[in-house]
Parts: sequence; C-alpha cells; structure tokens
Amino acid sequence: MVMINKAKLEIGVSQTPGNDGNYIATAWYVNDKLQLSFSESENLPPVINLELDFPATIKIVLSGKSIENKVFSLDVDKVTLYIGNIKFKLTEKQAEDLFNEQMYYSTEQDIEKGIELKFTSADPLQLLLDCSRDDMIQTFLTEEEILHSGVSMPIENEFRRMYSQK
Amino acid sequence: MSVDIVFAGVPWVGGGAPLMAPGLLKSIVQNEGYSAVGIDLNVDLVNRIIEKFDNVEEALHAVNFIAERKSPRLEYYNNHSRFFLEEITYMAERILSYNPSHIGLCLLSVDSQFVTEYLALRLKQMAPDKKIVVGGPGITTMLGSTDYSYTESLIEKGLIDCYINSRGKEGILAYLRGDLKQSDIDYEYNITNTDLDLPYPDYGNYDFDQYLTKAIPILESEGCVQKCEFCNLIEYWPKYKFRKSSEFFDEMLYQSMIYGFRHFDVRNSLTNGNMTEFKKWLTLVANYNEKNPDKQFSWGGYFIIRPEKFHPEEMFELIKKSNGMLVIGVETPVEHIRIGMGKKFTNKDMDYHFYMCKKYNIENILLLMSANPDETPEDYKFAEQWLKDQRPYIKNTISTISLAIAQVLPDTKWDKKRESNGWIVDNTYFEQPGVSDLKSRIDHTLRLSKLVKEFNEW
Repeated sequence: MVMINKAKLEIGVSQTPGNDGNYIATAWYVNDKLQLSFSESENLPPVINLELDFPATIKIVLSGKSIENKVFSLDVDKVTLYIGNIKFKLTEKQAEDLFNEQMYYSTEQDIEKGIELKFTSADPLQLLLDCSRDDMIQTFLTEEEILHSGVSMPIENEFRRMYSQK
Repeated sequence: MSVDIVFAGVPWVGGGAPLMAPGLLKSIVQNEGYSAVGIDLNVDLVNRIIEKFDNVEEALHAVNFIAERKSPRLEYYNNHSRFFLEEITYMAERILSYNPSHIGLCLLSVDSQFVTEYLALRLKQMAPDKKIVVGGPGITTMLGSTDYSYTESLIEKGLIDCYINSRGKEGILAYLRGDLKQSDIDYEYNITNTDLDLPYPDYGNYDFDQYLTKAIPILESEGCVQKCEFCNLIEYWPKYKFRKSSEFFDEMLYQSMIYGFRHFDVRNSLTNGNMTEFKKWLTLVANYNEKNPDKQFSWGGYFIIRPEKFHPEEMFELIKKSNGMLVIGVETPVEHIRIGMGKKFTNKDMDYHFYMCKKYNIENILLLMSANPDETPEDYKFAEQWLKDQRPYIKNTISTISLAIAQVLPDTKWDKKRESNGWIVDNTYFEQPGVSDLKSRIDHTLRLSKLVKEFNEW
C-alpha cells in the first residue's frame, strides 16, 4: 500500500520595503532544491506554497544590499499544512513552535542567519503531532489536580487492573 | 475481495472487554444486503501496550497519551508519539486489508477522538478514495451534548465524509443508501429513532482469544427507569425500552453456541429496570444453569437497589443461580441526598441488599460519587465512616469501588437548576456558597479516595 509522504505547506509572509524601496530577497529551498525565489524588487505574495517530501528541510536564504528599515516576517496566523486533500490550519502557537521562534528578520545578523526548518520524520503525521507537542507535554498532575481536572482516574484504575493480569 | 463497509471500534476504551458497536452495526447492514466487517481495534492496542511496556507507569503514560493527548516529558512524548503513529498505521492497514468502499469508525467515548483524527488521516493518506463515516456517543465531548464541533472540524479538514449523530439503525442505513450527506446542508440527518428492534450482533471478525475479559456483549434494554438528577443518560436515551426476557435469553443461547463463551456483559444502563422481565430472565438463566452444570452462563450488569418488597430473597437466590455480578450506583451513602437526587432507596434497603448478596455470595461493584450538592462537612464525615463500616463486605460481596467527584454535567437536572440553587460552576466542577467550597470537596474526595484505594487493594 502506498503512503503519501508528500505535503504542502502554506506559510503566510509579510514584508515592508526599506529606505531604498526594495525588500529583503528570499530564496526558498526544500531538501536543498530551490523551489521559489524572489528578488529585492519583488513584492512577495501573501502566502508562500511549498511542496514537501518528508523528511524535509526548508531553508530560506535571505539577502539584500541595504537593509535599512526592511522587515521580513513569517506570519504565525497564516500557516496551513495540506496532506493530500486534508487541510490543517495551525494555531498561532503551533506555528510559533514550528518556526522555533524564527519569525522576524530586520537586521544584517538576521539575514546572515537565514531560516531553517527541519522535519526529520518521514511521516508528515509526525509533524502534525509535533505541532501540538507543547500542549501535550504536561508534568503529571498531583492527585488533587487530577480530581479538579476530572481526568485520568477511571482510565488509570481500569488499566492498572488489566495490566496486573499480564 | 471487497466489502461495502468496515466498522471499526476505535481506541481508547477502558476495561478491555469486547466492543459491541462494530458487531451490531455489521449485523444491521448485512440484514439489508450490504457486505460488512466489524472489528475491534481497541483490544489490539490494549494488548500491544501491555506487551510493549514492562513498567506499568510508563504503560499508563502511553494510555494517557492515546486517550487524553497528554505526555509527562519530552522523552516520553518522543517515544509515545512514535508508538502511536506505528499503531495508527497498523490500524489503517488492518481496515484497508478488507478493501472496503466505506469505513465506519465507532467512538464509544471522548477518549476515542484523538485516535479517530489520526486514523482518519492515515486512511486518507493511504486510500484517499475511501469514504469515512463516524458515529457513536464519543463524537461529542459529553453524552447527550449537541455540540458537534469535533466532527464538524473533521469534515472541514477533509478527514471524514459524514458523521451520524443518531442512535438506532436508521442513520447508518440512510448513509449507505446515499441519503445522508453532510454536504447537503438542508438535509435533516439527525434521525432520532432509537428502537430496540435490533438483530443479534455478528462478532465473526473478533478474535475472542485476544480479550482479557472473555465476555460476549449483549443488550437487554436502553435508557433508564430512574431520572437521577446528576445523570446525562436521560437526554441521550429519554425513553426506557426493554427486550422480552425470552428474546434476550434466546440471544444468549445463540451467541454462546456461535462463539463458545458463556459469560455475558450486559451493556445497558440497568438490567433490572423491568422487574417482571428481569425475574423471568433470571429464571430462564437459572434453569439453564441447573440443567447444564458444566456449561453454566454468567453475567454482569448495572443494577438498582430497591426496597425488600420489590427484591425478595428469591430474587437474590436467582441472581446467584444465574451467576450474576452487579454494578451498583450507590452514589452517596447520605440517604436524604441520595433520595433527593432520584435514587429511591434507603440505607436500610442498601443494608438488606448487601446482607443478601453476602448470604448468596454475589459480587458487587460499587459506584460512588463524592461531595455531592447539598452535602455538608457533617455528611462528608458520615460518608467516610460509612465506607469504613463496609469492611465486612470487602472482597466477599463488594469486589471493587469506583469513586468520582460529583460533577454538574451538561443537560442534567443539576445543570438546569444550578442558577436557581446559586451553585458556582466552573466547567463541570461546582461550589455551593454556604455549604461547601471546592477545596473542602476535594479534600473530602481525597480522603475517600485513600479509603477506596485501601479497600481495592485489600
């Protein structure tokens, strides 16, 4: 059975021109292959579409002659992952986690650094799961907190009973 | 070879007993000429977790991850998310091995929502042309809720093609006929018929050797004769319906003959709703057991306590002869609170019940709710002492106690009167100014919880 390991990532972008009227130029690579590039004179579309083949590494190479007042940013409220025909709009928090805080670029150091997003799993579902990872990781609750939140007790009791029959 | 539909029971469902829905739905659609398969994915996952994790605490973390999307630390998260995706792939492959044109995912509770989402995605990844429909009480957060945001979000993402928010058999049949499509926004898909005219479930695709609890699920009634104030079943099943004892017994004979098991897990709100039919059924089972001492039937089911005049000693004798195990919602030992919430039996009735169960060696599982509305600190003390006083019944009559803090669930009578009673409700947890605050309720629950733990481990 063939599993689709391809996905499409839509990333919202914003930019402002600098004093010279130009923008920060961007070149978008996926797995070291150039997919899109925009020169300093080009205004970016509001959403960038990237085709991903997992595992995937996205590199965004930034460049510009004069960067004065130029700002380039990834918009955390406009990130959507498509797996086949299935659409997952990421929450702002999930997108922030995905970008690993690499969102705003307005200095020479920022430009030199560029952006790299690594999805090491061959499974796009792992990326989806990982987008919610921070919400899922919780230090285990105290008994009092469990009672207050109403989670876990019945599941735990039933499972312990089953496990004891191992 | 292909089939019209595969029904799959989706994890997580606690208890590890066979799921009824896939077998019942398979039978319903087969009777109308569709080819179908009914599988229980829950038991596979339960067994794999038990096998994989040598430590019960880590196994529990895996369960919490799957049922509640919670992981305690990054290292656990990494391990469990990998395991989870492997299991999702296995489940999808198992479903697709039957080459169905439709896939029906059955959700028993909210704990199945996480797996359903990722399973549907994996199915769409592997076989985008398959139609996926979901249904069952777990499609909403609470039983009886009309908030379908979860299933609507699955439709919006393209993960499923349809969801069925009705009980009974009409919904799934309408779907297979093509009459039920969420895309037809004007179509009325909330079919609420809940008749009990159901065929015998077909568990032919189940491997009963897989189950720790080897029981055949069986349905005797639907709904409840009581209208307890805390209970949300009333909204879900507003009318009590029952099967005739002879029909119910015939199904037991048939299912035991087909599957070779003789223990029955009665899957309804209570077995003794209709006392006339209940006694007839007990007599049928007891007579059968007398005639078949080496092949006796046994059963377990929910049961309500009633005064002695309704539950004479002969009934307990019959329960014993039919090898019955009773799950009893005592809720609170504080008599006036219990009666006030709609459980019409006194503590004297309860003492009589346990005395009889001890006399006839009948196992009881007790369901308790702590810190109920109107219970005062004095009542808390009484409840704690009452629990201590039940020691004579530990293990020989009361095998297990299940405790939960009282909550105000949506659409219950408690929910409807919370404003007029001045309760402060946060989510489903409440405080009652002048009677109890949340801290005292939790403290009392923790004290009871400690006693229950000792009780269960004794």
